[in-house]
Amino acid sequence: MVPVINIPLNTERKVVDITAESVIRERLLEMGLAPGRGIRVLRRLPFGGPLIVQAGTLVVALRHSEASCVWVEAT
Amino acid sequence: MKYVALVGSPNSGKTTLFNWLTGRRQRVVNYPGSTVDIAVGPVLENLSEKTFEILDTPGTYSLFPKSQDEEVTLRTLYNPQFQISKVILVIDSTQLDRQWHLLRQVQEAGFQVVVALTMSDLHAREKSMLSLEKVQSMAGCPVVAIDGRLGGGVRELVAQVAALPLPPVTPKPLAAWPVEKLQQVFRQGEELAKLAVGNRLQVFDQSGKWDRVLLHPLWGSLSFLLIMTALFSSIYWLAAPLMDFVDSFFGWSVEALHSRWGNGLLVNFFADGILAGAGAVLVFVPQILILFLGISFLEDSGYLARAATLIDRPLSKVGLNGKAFVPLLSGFACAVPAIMAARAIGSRKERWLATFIIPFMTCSARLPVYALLVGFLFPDDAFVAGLLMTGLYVGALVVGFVAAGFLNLLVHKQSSGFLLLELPLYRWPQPLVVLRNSMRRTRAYIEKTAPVILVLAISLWLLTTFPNYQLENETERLQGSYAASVGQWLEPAFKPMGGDWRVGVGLVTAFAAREVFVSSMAVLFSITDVDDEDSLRAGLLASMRKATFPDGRLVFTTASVSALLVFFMLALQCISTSAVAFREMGSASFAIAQLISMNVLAYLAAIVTYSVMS
Repeated sequence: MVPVINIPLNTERKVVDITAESVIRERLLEMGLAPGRGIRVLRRLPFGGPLIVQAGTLVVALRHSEASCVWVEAT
Repeated sequence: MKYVALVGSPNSGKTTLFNWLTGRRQRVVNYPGSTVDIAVGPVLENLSEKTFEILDTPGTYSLFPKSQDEEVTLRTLYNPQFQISKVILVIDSTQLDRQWHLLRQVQEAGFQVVVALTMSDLHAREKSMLSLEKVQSMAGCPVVAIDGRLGGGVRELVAQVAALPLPPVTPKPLAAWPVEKLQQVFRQGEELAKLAVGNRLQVFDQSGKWDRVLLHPLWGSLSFLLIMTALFSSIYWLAAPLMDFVDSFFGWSVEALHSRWGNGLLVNFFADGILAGAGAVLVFVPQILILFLGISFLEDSGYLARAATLIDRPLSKVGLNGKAFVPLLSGFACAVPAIMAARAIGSRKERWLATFIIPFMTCSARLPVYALLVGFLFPDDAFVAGLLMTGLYVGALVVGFVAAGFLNLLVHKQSSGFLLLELPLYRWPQPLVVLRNSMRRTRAYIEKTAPVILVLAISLWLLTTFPNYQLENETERLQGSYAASVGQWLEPAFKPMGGDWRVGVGLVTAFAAREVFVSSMAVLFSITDVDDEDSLRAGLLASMRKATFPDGRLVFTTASVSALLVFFMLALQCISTSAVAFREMGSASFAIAQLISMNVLAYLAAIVTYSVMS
């Protein structure tokens, strides 16, 4: 299990767990980022800016602190 | 059934549908005891025999709100004033899997629902499947496909809403959904999307191509600067002739009233009190409309979410997030709509911070004052004057961010904010939708500020007219007025920053609206009968250079004018801003703390400037 922040660009992985505080976790679920779904990192903005991730038809900007709470399969 | 609510996720095409349903008869409702304002309009007559009103609620991901504007949606749904029992649930057909749970939540709460499946034109264009029957059988309610580009399906939608039976019981707030339930409903949505909607659409890939440029480390930053410069310069240069027009229209009207009916007390009241006060509000309307047009256009195109993403990192350094970008940007036109826009910032702490520092942004009411004072310092050197002007903008921005960083440290222990910003598909905005949204927002701005400014303008007129109202000479009348007594009483306070009582009166009157300072100065230094603005300014500058204290020292020196500039840069001299901050934050202590701390800061900075420079 690795956080989505550590996976290479444009490789799809399956979400295993979301460990953020409950508001963020619930909002991610409501937006369509749920365990079992495929997720990929589209780009990382420079200077430690947000990550753009895609899960199905959802494209969302996540801060590092948020992205490190989304865990995906290791390989 | 008077009201039907439109409910849907952000970017679901809800506002476009609202425009198809109501046309140009939309307005904003704002009911007593709350800050909520939502768009409302009657259904177009040619769509339905029964008349009912459509309420456009702010976009929400669920019925369990996580930001202020999502709470607005919930409060609207259960507001006894509207008695909503029927809901048009807007679902983006390309996002069916992700928006399905919202339908289930609205149904479970007890509302009668018709589903509007938007973006059906995207499926049609790519000849992709969209099976209404399958969605309908799973949803258990009528489902209508909507073509947001051409308005297809709108008539049928209205017919379906009219045909809905009333719900057997009154809708009630939902009991919380456990995570397992949410996930289960989600899977249901995913299954349905697989059956009812065709393969992944190509528009998603096209959108990704745009992002490759617009979120690129170099090209993305460059286009960001370019787009913002374009927006920024249009709110100044494009709006300037229109603002001049409004300004001269009111100037001319005041003049015309006087020349027709003389200078009786009643005429003065209407001309110099009411009409001039109305002018003070309306002069900013062109600029605010252009700002809203620009923001609506960028919002509908999908770019604004990208801009907020790009700016998130720098803003996070001072405890803000990318969503504070639009409110801060709006602050350069006027703090009032900016503070209203801050409602969309997710977390309370970040909204609090943004609302606090918005008045530091150089709003356009400061411009006439800057123009006068900078013109005093550098009458012949346009380049240096421009440089100073830029310095004032940047200076205020820096102070604002330092203040945010400082306040962030104070409130740090409270909840940390989140970004979680969805990047919608890029789409070409529809001009009519953009125009109507902007006009509606502009009207809401006028309705919010007009009463406050009018009351204040009238009180100032009373203070500057009485007790010597019978005097013909305006300057003499003012010098013996209550306002002058107040100014003279306050003079010791203005001494340390280099001003005399007249400057003090000017500063006090500027609380109606900052630019009133200029006209007050004109009256105080007896430049009244010049109607051309340039010569008014020239005449005012000339008499400012001659103005002296009783002991013969000059009132306006480089030091005292610089101190005034610093004061205007930092001070919160705007009753409307305080009123709107009070209403939006629901806290008098917030508004008072903001008012006092900004003005104390401005005052101290002005004193320091004066003593350092003189």
